[in-house]
Amino acid sequence: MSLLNEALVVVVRGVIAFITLLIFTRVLGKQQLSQLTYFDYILGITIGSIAATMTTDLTARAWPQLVGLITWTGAVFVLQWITLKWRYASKYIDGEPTVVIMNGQIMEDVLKKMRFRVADLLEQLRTKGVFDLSEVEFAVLETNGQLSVLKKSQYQPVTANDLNLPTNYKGISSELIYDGVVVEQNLQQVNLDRPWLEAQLRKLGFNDPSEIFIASLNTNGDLYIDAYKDRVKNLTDISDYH
Amino acid sequence: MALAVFIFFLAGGQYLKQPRGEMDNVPAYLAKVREDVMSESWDQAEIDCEKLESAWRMVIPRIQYSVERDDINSINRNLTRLKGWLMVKDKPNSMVELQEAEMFWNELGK
Repeated sequence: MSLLNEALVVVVRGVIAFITLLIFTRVLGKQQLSQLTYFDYILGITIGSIAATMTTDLTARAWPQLVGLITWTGAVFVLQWITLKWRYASKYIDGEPTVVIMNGQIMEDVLKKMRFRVADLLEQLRTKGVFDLSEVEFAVLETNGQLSVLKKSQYQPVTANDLNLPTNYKGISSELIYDGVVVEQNLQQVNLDRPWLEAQLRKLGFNDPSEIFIASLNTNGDLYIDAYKDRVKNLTDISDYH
Repeated sequence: MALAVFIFFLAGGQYLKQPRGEMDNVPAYLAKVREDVMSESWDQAEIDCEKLESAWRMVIPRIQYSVERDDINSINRNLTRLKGWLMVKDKPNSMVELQEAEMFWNELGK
């Protein structure tokens, strides 16, 4: 078999593995990476590894590897279904959130059991903006390894509700222009039309939507516009290297 | 749909190796060369061996995605050695190579 043929086989197998993975990840749903448990993470690596082997290991037939890929994806799918339907299984498979600080007290035995060092705890607290242990009322280690922190009430930020201040509704903004192209569907959703948008652009000194990188409209009716041509006169350079 | 095509493509070695005509009929040429060797028609055996190799070369592009590369290499090796044995008119070793090539052929894509 010539080198060219070998390369061709790798390319074809690679394309097949790529599309298969794409289909399987769509089947497995939209679980975010940040929500993955340690086991999910390992499952992902295993499935990726099988796909990689399927692409480059020409000493083995691709079919058993595709079967392996289907089996692992099927197992993940079944596991997802079980954890969705059966709470006990979910607790056993995904684990449970664990309280590591309770009423301001660090639970040393829990940390030891989970092989979680105090240094790890402090690091996670710092990433949550907590630099003083005395500010923490509760800290819970979630199944995805993230720490959720509840500060003592005296250290929590004041909200508008605390001050009995009225607030306006704030929803999701709609993108009206994306990469120079008007998103007609979003315009219709907010009951506006192209002439309105073009009039707004003219007011701001733009002649055509193609000059705009992104334009979005928030629920208060404020239009945010960013043009391709930036009008910043003095650019701040944060780099240390020149 | 895409998955069904991939499955056929990757698992269809058994089907894809089947001859599409006279020119790529590997089992038929294997049998012909065996007959030639048995009857010690060495010149004819060499001619049929060339045809066998040519048929095998036609099959490779179809099956290369669904079979082990080592199996393809094994049959390549058998055919190369077979040509050598035919050249020196060695009946036992020619039969060994033919037998082994046939075994690899039967296992191809299974």
